[in-house]
Amino acid sequence: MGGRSMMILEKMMDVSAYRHKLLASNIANVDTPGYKAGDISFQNELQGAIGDASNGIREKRSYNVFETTDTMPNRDGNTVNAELEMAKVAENTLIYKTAADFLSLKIKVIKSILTQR
Amino acid sequence: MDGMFMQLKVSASALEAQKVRMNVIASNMANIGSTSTPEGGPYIRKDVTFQSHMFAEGMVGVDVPKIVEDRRPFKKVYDPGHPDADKEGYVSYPNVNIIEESVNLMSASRAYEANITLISSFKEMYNKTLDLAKS
Repeated sequence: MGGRSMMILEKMMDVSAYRHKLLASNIANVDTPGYKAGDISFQNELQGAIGDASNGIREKRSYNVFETTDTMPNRDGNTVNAELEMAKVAENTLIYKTAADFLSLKIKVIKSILTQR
Repeated sequence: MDGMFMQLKVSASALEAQKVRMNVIASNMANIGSTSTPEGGPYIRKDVTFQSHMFAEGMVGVDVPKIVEDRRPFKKVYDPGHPDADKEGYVSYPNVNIIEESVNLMSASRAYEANITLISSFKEMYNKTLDLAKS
């Protein structure tokens, strides 16, 4: 029940929860010499996860984590750009909350259908 | 479950590290005029080193492995009347620069706030997940 849209919302939450972990690590290491900021492509990972689920693949995907290249490294080799990371955090939190809200709505709809008389 | 809350540990480790850094900065600022110490000689500026610490796959926290001493030379001020003056009448003041410390303090408190924001956003996300069970 729920079908494809519920599966997509679930994957959105999965991928953004993982991305939040990476962003938390980046922010934690904002002053660590030599630390390289890591990130995943939300779009690619989501498409991959949806593709897997549609093809009936049950195993958990491993994420393709890459080092961000859009910032100049500091003198100590650190590549975390705090402002950029915080913007990503805001975006990612919104994506997660949106997916959770829609999933919650979906559950409410199903529930109301089930309780109709 | 452990994997999920590990993220809080990552942010907490950063809060801890930034707090140690702020403590060290406070000591430096407090001792900007300390011309003598129990170990002898003027106060030597301290600094922290940060090192990343792998908690789990993709989750990297931060540690302060050691507090190091700044080896830059002391400031020499000619003041023959000073009790800590050397034979030539020069007093060695600590190698602390108040502006440098202020900038570091600002940077530490910004980093602290950023980690607090991460913890709050994690809590919001987690509560949203719990709300799914209520719908």
